[in-house]
Amino acid sequence: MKTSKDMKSSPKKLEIKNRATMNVASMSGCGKSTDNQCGMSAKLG
Amino acid sequence: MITNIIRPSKAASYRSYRDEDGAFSIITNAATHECLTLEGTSSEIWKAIESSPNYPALLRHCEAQDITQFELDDFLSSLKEAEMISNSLETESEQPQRARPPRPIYNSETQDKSNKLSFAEIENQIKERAIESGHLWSFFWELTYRCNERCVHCFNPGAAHTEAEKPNRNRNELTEKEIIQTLEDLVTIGVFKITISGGEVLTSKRLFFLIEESRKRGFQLHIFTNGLLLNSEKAAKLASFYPDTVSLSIYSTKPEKHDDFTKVPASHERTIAAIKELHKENIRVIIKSPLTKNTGHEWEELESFAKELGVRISFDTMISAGNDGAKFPLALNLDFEQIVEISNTPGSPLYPGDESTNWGAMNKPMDREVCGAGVSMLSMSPTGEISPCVALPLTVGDIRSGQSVSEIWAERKLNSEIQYNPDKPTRIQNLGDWRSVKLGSYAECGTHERCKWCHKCPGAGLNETGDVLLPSRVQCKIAEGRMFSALKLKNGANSESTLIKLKSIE
Repeated sequence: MKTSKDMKSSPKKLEIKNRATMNVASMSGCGKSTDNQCGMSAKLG
Repeated sequence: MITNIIRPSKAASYRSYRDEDGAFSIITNAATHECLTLEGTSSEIWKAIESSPNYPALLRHCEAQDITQFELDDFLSSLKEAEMISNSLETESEQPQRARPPRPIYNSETQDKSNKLSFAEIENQIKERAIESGHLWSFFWELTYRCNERCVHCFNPGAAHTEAEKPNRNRNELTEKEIIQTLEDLVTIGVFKITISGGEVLTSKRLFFLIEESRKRGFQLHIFTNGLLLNSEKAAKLASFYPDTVSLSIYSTKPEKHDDFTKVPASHERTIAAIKELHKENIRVIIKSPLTKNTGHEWEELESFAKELGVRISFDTMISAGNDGAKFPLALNLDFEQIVEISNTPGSPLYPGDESTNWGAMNKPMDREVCGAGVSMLSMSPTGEISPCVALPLTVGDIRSGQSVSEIWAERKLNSEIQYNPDKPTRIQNLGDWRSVKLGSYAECGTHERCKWCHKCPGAGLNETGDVLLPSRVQCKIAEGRMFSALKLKNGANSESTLIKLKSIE
């Protein structure tokens, strides 16, 4: 097993790829589905 | 050192996938309102965490992949910092994760212009990748058709639209055993999002059973309710299962107008009270507001109202015929002048856009599907009938006829070409038939100039005409109004091209 010292020089294998806050703008679209599930919703404006 | 069981936190929703480029996962947290994605080995480790391993087992898993304990600990620390994992069963059962207030975005606010991907972009990337690798992304679950309101525009089959009518709603709802079988089946085909709707979901004795069993399996939950039965105790119980969003319909800022929609006195007051209870629990609340000829002019007031309450709003500018073909709701739609007036206002639910978006004109490929129905989502009625979308009542299977959802989903392979034929009604018998329908299959959709401004819903055409390949004249009118507004915005109100006589819609 590699030591932590070895790892400092090797590429990181485990990482979070993307991270974002789930804030979504008000929308116009189909009120029967959730947010943009059917691909027909659009952000207001 | 972490020595005990590692598992997804109570507020986390998650699903892991695999395609030719490797493993990938999406994880969201309804308490922190954050979303993470993982790829490759990181996703594989998360997949292992989904089954609540103990630390030594996870470490052995890492060693087999040439990953050091140092790397694993570092990764677990970052997941722990993001509150996506818990490393103690006891601690979490004693201290539920405290939800933070959500922060909805309003039109007036400046959007984040940083180079970081937005949540919508991140989610869309994962969704597209999941769909392309053969997974079903979302599932719309109609739990019951029972309802304690009598909304004039209700699209449920058997709904009553006038005082003289009696509702005739099917009550032979799924059993707990059928619910469990369906949930386990949905995990196998990669469903991440489940929307629970009705009828009114709080009239169902199986609502919290479905919620609890869904959350145990990592589904991200969205709930539609009118809130009439939602007191502070129920709101707290709901919050303890960490739904991602709860949506409630508000038809007008005026209580009497709202109550005239629902035919239930004081329903406006009770729905607002429910919104406040849910907001107090820091649940992401969405007000859904269909605009009608009686309320269309109120959209700005409704948006301000949502802002005052600290919640999001989602407008719907079309009222469709019922899923049983009932035509009464169609009379509630905005008229042409209202459509144009709303479209002319930047930021409105019908605004076509400015020069940067070619005033909203969209050239749509004739060889593509028009929406995500049956592509990214499926819907199930309270009695187990499967359709491509809740708004598109084409039955493509029935779990009570011995077929599971995954078996119905497996029938999505394209069949022979489906094309509108005026001499023969269109027949869609399975998901493959539906998936074969492209924009070019429709009778006239995509052939008019106005179609560039249409957000086509095939369900609207089906419910209005009885044939899924015929256009909805309500949608044609909206598209024409938006096109008229776009020309006006582009050329100026009095230019010759704007004052062209618009072709009337038959």
